Amino acid sequence: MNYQELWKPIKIERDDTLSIQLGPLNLAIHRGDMEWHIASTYSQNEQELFSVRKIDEMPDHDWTRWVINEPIDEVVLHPKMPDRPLIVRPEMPVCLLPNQSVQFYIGVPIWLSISLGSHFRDIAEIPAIKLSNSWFGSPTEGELCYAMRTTAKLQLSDLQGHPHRAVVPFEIRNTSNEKLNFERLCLHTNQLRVYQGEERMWTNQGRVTYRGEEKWSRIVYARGIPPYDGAEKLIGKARGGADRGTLLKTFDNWKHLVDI
Amino acid sequence: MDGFFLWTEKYEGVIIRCILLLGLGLPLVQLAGYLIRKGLKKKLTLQSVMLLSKGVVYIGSTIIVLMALQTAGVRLGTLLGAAGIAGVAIGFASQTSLSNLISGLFLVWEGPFQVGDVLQTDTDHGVVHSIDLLSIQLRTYTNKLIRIPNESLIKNSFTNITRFPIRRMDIPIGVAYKEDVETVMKVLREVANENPYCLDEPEPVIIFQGFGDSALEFLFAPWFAKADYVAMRNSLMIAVKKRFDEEGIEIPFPHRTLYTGAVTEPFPIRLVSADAAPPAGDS
Repeated sequence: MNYQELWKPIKIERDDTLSIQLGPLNLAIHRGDMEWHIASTYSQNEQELFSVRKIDEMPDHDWTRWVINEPIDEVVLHPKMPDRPLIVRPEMPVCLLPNQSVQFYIGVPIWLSISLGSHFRDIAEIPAIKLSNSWFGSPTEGELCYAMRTTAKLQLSDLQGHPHRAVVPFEIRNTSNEKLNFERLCLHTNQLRVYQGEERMWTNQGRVTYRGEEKWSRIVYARGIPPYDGAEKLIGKARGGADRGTLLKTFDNWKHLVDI
Repeated sequence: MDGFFLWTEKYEGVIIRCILLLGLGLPLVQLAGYLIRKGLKKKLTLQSVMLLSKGVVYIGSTIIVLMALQTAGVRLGTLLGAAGIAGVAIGFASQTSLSNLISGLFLVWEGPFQVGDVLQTDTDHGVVHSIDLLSIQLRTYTNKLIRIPNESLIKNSFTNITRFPIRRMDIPIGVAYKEDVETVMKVLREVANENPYCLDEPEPVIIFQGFGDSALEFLFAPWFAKADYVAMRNSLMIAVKKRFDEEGIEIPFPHRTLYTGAVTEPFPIRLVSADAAPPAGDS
């Protein structure tokens, strides 16, 4: 089974358990009599990146139980972007010279959103990878984020296809007359949608324009589909629109972060 | 009976005006207090809203009652004169209450804490349960209620533990003198990196503090979101112990060396076989 089949409704018979391995995440969904059980565990070993199998027994996990008074027999999974902004730290500091731009491809772990039938949408969300917390701002004021290290690939051909990551194409433009040194950048993932390409999952394009140390940087997330890999099919909606408040806060924090 | 009817007939208009004033005025004042609490809940702090609404209710009620008395023909000048004399006497008797009341106003103005914050005073520790005119109430973690007069909060220092969204947890750690300092610091850094509750930014503070009586002493101080205190403390302590065990890093207990009087001479030791009879006195 190709991992792209995961985004279609999956039927589960009563008393059956579906076990899904997606990267380090092992997700188990069990259908009982008018109730569903969901459990997740994580392994250190990412050898088996993707598998789906039906098992007869209920593994010994910490289950959460969903009682539903309707005979629902299918589960629907959607990929989503993380529920908090991501502080992305390249493996080594990056220096962008004046009037240069660069396109990074950043693999971001997806969150699996679980719906039961068509009525009970998004009853649970499970991250494919458990990310560490990080803080965006000063110790007295800021925003709780996730931390992620990335190789921040420059070439499409260097990208590996992971079924538990979506690629964020992110362009950085330095329109100032000074060098832009940065060790980390912030991705506001609530504005990112997930598309299915032929090989990988993609999100809409992000772009930041650095205009100098004393000026706010402008961050824009494109509304259109990403021009890569035939990624035209929307499989995961954005969590929240590009509201103005978020953007203003992003400018502020971006300035703070690149001001190293 | 006839006298009563004659009196009511004579003062019918006054009685009706007084009843209207009290019957409509007092509920209106209460309504004003309610609207202030509802309307300003999101714009001002909880204690400011409480103070404003109570102030409006108390002052408004006093004015309504005074108006009713004036309508009934009571001479307010005489009444206020008597109230002034009584006020001086009451003032002397209630110095502490007034001091608490004024301290409460200063605390509201300063706003060093809110309902739900965790406060640490010299003697008490708990969550702010309510902020009243004369005192605040703390709910301890053992679910007891402590009343602290506002005056003592103004006079003494206290710590608001949850004022800021992130905190640093300072954990002193000691390892045996034989351990490699750099290895210990590396292991601690890895433990922090692997724990999802430890913030990646600001970076965890790891300091080699010095040479203690029985151990090499380190300060391990990762940052965390204030809601994750218990989850991080438990998971981190378990992880540190586990990793130290895996790496063979010894956490020492206090050592005490005994001398027999001359430092150069060791204890005399006599070897006995396992099946030898126990020394006299053992049973």
